[in-house]
Amino acid sequence: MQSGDFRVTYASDERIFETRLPIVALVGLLAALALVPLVAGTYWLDVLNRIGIAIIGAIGLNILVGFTGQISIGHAAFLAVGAYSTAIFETKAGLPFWLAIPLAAAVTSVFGLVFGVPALRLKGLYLAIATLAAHFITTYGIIHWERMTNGVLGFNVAPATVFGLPLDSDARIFYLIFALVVPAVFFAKNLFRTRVGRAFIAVRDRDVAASVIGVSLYRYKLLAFVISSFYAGVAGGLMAHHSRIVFPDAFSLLVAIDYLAMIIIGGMGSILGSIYGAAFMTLLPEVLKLSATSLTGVYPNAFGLIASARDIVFGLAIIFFLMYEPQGLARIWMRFRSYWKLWPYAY
Amino acid sequence: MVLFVVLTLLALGLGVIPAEAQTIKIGNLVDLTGPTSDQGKDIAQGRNDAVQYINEKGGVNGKKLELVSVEYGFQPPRAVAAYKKFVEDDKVLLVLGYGTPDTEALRPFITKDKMPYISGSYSGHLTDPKMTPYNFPGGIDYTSQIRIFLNWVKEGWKDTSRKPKVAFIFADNAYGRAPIEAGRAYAKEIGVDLVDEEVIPTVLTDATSQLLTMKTKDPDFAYINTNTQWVPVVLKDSYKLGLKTKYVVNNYGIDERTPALAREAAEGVYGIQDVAYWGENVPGMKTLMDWHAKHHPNDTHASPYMRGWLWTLMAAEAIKRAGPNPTGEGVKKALETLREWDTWGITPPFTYTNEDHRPTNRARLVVIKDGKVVPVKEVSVERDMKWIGK
Repeated sequence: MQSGDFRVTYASDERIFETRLPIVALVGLLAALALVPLVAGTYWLDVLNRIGIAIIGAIGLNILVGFTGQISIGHAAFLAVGAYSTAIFETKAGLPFWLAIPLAAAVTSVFGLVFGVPALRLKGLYLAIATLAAHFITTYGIIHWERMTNGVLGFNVAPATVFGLPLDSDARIFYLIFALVVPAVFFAKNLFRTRVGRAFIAVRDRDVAASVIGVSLYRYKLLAFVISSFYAGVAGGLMAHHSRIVFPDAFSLLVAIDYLAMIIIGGMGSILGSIYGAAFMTLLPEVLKLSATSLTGVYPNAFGLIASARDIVFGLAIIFFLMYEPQGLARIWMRFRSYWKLWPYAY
Repeated sequence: MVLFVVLTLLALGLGVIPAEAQTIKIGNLVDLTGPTSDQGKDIAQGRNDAVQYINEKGGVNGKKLELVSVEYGFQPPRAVAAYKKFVEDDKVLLVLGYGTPDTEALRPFITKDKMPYISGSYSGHLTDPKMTPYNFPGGIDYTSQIRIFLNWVKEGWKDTSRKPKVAFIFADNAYGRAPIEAGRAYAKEIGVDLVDEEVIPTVLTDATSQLLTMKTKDPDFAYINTNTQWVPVVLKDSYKLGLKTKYVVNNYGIDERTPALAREAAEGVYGIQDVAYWGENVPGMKTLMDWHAKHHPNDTHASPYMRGWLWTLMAAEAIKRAGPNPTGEGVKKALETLREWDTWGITPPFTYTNEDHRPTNRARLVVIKDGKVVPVKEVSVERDMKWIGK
């Protein structure tokens, strides 16, 4: 048990893990995750894979919205650019996935850079509307550039292959996804221990003050867009490989809203929060679906009713979090943890 | 306390549904929340009811059927995820599929897994056993329907001074676009002038701008290829703009509900129909009405409900023909043995062969008259191998 909080050096203040226990727990968790595909069925693996992809996407959005304070509802567009570039690099140019995904992420970054330019002059709601334009321009481009994107029909993507082994099942692609989730989380976690990350936070808290103390707004706002869309590009590339099809409607405005909901529910400006939010938003419809399926034995129409309940529950969850816990699941977890840390001798 | 109650209920819930060894699982993909939910709700209920009916009659070869349902909101990626679950977790014997975009997306998977797939998509692309050997469209294909439309236009045309002018109005998705290319080619072949094509969004709120463009081309006839809940938008806007064009709507775009949705704008609109209407005098209707009266007398049904029944009955028939230990391959072969198979009169008889997965070449022409959909005549088109897979 911890007997006090002594931080006498900057290094100790900057530590990610305050005690050894979380490190052990984390290693244990990763080891357990590595074993999951051996025991879990396709259904749960599919859900886990979608959570993994959502984690990468949500961290990307959180860097931009939660940490740098630049509101974006163009995240679905960034995901779409990542997914389509990956698919096009592989299908049309014949590149292997380990080249295609980074290249696609780079393309998405450039894309984010371009659509981040309005952020230099616009703030808050105005920026949100400007990013909305990014969304519609992208969707229009995807639907009408038929030679490359096959328009509204979308196209199938061949499974990624590693040393001749096709990643064609959820169990196999699971390792690819989580092999990227781990560095994505660690990069983001470390980002906010660096000069760049602190500059992001300064911009969020008050951009005028930040520029007065020498933070180049021009540079850091654009950099936030670049990093955020790089994450979105990777997530999009994984989406293309996981669902094995790229399709314009899969990147509707609702997807962007879902991602915003993830970081609101999980916790704005928190890497752990992005993970919780991604898991929560992916699991909620599945839990609803499962409860519907188990109810059909008793009440045959439950299936249809619950299918429409999804959006209502999402709406209520967001209202609930905004009212009672604006800092999201991450904050709830912290309170829960500190309660048990001191239990039963809470003062 | 609450937790206790919830846990008890869950435990009971798990107890109520015993894991029966002697069941055959069928994947059931439906859209209840997306842009085609007008069809999906009735189709889902039809399938559920048909499975219950078959089970009450003792199942298939002594085994009960079990539907494993997934709602996918007309989103192909979600359909792919659902399909993977059907195959790997549920180990279903066959899948009752749904729309064109998702059936197209699943093509490589179905063929690789040798999974018999009865699809609600009648896309001509999906009818060729050489390309999609395991897919069985559950009705007359869209390409045959558009050919029926063009033939009908040509036959009824009396003016010798010029050729008839037609336009295509279609939804901007794989379903809407499915027959368009074949339609262009066939119009050219038989000498009908295709003067205009208008693309409308999948979810349609206003078609004025498209119809104004169409008005300048002044077609005599227009073929609408979208869903029942969006067709009235086109009809009403056309009525408002005073267009003289005569409309013909494909099978998923018109049914008993259209007159109520489009009111006076629906008058004189023609439709091509694959199934019988609710309550119509066909051999199987009494069974359906009795079932309805016994289980949910207060519901209303439209023709998609029949399709739900039809595809489930067809699946059951194929499983029966595949014998006591059915496999995917066996069910596929059994489906290909259906010859002039009686669908309880819900549709014209179905025939699938290993060279042609178009179930029929016959349909009905209907027209809306005084707020009612009235059959005009039976229409058919030659089963030309040239148009298969197109």
